[in-house]
Amino acid sequence: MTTRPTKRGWIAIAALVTPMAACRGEIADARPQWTVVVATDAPVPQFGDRLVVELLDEQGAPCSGCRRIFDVSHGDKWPLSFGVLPSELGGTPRMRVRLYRTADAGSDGTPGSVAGIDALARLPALGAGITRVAVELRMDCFGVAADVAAHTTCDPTGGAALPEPTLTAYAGTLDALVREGSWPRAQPVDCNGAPPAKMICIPGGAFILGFPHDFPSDIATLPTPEHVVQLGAFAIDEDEITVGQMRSLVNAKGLDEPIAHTSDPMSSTFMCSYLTKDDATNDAMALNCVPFALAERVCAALGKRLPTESEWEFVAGNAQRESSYPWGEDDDICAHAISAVGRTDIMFLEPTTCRTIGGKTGAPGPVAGGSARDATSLGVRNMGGNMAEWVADVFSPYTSACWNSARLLSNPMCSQPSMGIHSVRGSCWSCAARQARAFERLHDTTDGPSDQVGFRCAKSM
Amino acid sequence: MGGAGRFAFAASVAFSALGSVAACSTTAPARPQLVIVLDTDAPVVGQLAEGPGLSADAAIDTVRVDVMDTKNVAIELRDLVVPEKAGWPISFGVALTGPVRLRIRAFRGRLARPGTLGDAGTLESPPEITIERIVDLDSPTSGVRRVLVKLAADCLGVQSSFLDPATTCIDADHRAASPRDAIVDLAGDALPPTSVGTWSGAFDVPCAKAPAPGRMCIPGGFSVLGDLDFSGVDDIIISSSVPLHPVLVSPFHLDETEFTVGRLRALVQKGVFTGPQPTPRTPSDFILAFCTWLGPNDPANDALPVNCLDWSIADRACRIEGGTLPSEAQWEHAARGRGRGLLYPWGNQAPTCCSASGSRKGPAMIATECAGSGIEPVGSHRPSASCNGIGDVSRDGVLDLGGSVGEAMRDKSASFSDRCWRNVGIVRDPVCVDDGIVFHARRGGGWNEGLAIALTPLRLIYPDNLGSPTAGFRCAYPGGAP
Repeated sequence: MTTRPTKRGWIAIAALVTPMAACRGEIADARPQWTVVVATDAPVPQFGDRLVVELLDEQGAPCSGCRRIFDVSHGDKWPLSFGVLPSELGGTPRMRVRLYRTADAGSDGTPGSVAGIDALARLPALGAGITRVAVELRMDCFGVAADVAAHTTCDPTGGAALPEPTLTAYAGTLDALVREGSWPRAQPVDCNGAPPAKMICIPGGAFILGFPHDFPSDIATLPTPEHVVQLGAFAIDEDEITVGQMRSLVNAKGLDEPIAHTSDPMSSTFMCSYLTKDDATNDAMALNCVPFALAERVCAALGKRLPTESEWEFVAGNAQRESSYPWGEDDDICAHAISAVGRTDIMFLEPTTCRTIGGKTGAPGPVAGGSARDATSLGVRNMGGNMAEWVADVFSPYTSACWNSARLLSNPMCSQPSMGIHSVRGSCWSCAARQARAFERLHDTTDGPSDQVGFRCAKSM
Repeated sequence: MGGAGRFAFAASVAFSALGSVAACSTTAPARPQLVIVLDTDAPVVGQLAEGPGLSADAAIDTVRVDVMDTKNVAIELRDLVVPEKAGWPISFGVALTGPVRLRIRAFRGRLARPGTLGDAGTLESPPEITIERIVDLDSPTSGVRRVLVKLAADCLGVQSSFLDPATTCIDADHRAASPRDAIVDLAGDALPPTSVGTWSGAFDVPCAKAPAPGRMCIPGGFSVLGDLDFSGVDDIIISSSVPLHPVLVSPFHLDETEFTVGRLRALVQKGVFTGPQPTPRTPSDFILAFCTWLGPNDPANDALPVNCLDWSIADRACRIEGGTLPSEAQWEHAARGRGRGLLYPWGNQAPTCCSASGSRKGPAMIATECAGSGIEPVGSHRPSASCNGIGDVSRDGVLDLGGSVGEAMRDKSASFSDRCWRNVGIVRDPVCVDDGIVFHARRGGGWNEGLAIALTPLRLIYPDNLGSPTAGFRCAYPGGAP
């Protein structure tokens, strides 16, 4: 067995830690063995709460009994250490260590997607007594799978595939290893100054865009694969843009009018909230029936811009919490959001799951002001429902070139040539309730104004 | 598996201790205390690496312990993640005086949702796939009382009752026992050996006999029907896939392909299939133009799945062949990899135009994702290198469960929350029989539907007396008890 010296610094080399058997008095036996210390700069449990360690043969298959899953969901579990006993046949095993989230686990308990940190290395030749090695799992390698067949693993200094290194003995202290949560890009970035009126400051930070599993109505909207996204600080409107705001821009700045309400209930514009530039009746209603380009112009006229798809999801999922809904985890969508209160008549067959609550059937359509219970912890309202919302990105599946970077995405916005389809986020009064989940994706044609889609504006801070 | 036993992990992992008392005998404090030693016969996630014979759906990895007050409100809770057999039995101490009520739940972390209790973050597992036990104990007035509590896999999905008197499941024969039952006082400090992974239901059950040609053996075992990601997917043509239903499926044989025109023709010509036949292809009709039946004498479409048929024709054909239409439980057990919860018959990779026969041009005036029109011969989407090794084939070699034609089921079409499915705990070989429901269930995607229809958890409706170019069938046969 040849052993290569470690060329890169990511697998540092090692002093000893007590094996984790402390509780049952079975401190490692006296046989020569390895002690492996695993450290990470990832914040846990946000970017991983489980660690799977496998000892692999040359073909990449784990030997029998050579897989262990560790719960590493708390910062005080790091760095983690465990012992590895040698085989009576000699040799040095290959070791694969993966940090991942329970939600990303496949049915066999090991990572079911590439959303995690994956490291592959060979243990060094065993000396007398304990041979200590250390492995550092770096966030800069998040999403880069090792290739066990090709014997390559991620190089944290560049993200490229590196030949699987052979670890060497680690003589340093535990404190010298990378610390849990220390990844610089995960540190919150405060807004530079106070946000404008009626806007909420969203401190920048890193999160995982998307979700590992979902039922999509069309495959293009699958929230997989997930991506690590880093965002700068920004501010976002507390509320969806209203008819009143639109009217004042039309009257004061000469902006085009959106598609207006028509009185024929069979018309596709019957549910449009804008009336005329002089009619204030619906001023408190969220605006809909807006072409994408007009939404962009409205935000620009206010000195703002549309939020990106990543920003929108970051806000709706309560930032690093990555909650299921803007309001948290309560699955009773009807109780929180104006969602699935559509029409069922000869012309329109819309979701109505939330029309009847407690035996009372409400009227279809959006509601002025939306729902007070549809708010994020920072106070951004009606991201779950009322209107779905335009975001700045051209719609493209997460598998496409626009998103298909295994590396960290920094302030991403998909701006490939538009086929006239932009992303839309959030559920709406006539959308399916399940669309209220923060990670759900939708799309709409930019020039076919929809009574489901409104928008809010954002501003970099 | 290479090099069995070559290397091994040296030490087991320490576990969390609950309350103020550590689990280690060396650190036991002197004051009175209860030490609960918790074990289970359910398999744990760490055992799934040992081989393919265990149902992944049966594996647990998380235990939540709530300490309840007299009003059954949790006053303290812990989530213990114990995915490895070496971590069992779990032991933890409770430093309280007087009577103590614990609510203990074991489940699979990946299927639990984050929740909150007061200020504490926690995990909430669907009760249908949780082993729950409530335990009433008296704290000792002096010394250490050590008790063994076993969580029985047979109790999966059997919820406890907190009404007075409270009841809880302790094993298959005692699903409403007293919380004071089946608590074993232990003498000495030694932990008993664990029974993790000894529950027989978690293991594959082989077919007792080899299947006839053209049929595949589907080993029996444990599956969880339904999928939490499909909550809220429930409308006129889709039945709800939640709540989940744990089932035991007996081994059976399943047709490798959907029932073809040629196969039905042969039955007609042999004289064993009499009575109404499928609606024949009618070129002038824009829907019936996609029907495949050409009458009993025309072999041109023999390789195509038969479609446009009344449910009773499918049912009759299967019975003539010595089988029945598959139940939804059988179909899902086969299509989702027998307890692996696969999203598609081939795995979890999203479908493309090569991986299954779907989104082809049909009668509807909708945009299609794939080139080509009309129905394809059965087995047209076997795994291929040009499709990255993916194709419409299940773990057991059954073809076209994802696409081609949707398939008629033996069950009536009902939401998983309907009366038909209102079972408690694990059910063996369920079939939804309800005379009040007109239509039968349909599973599997159709050639002219969007590719997402290949998702195995989707539950659709078979148009019983109408038939459809999109729907056909295949048959299931007894696999024999071992």
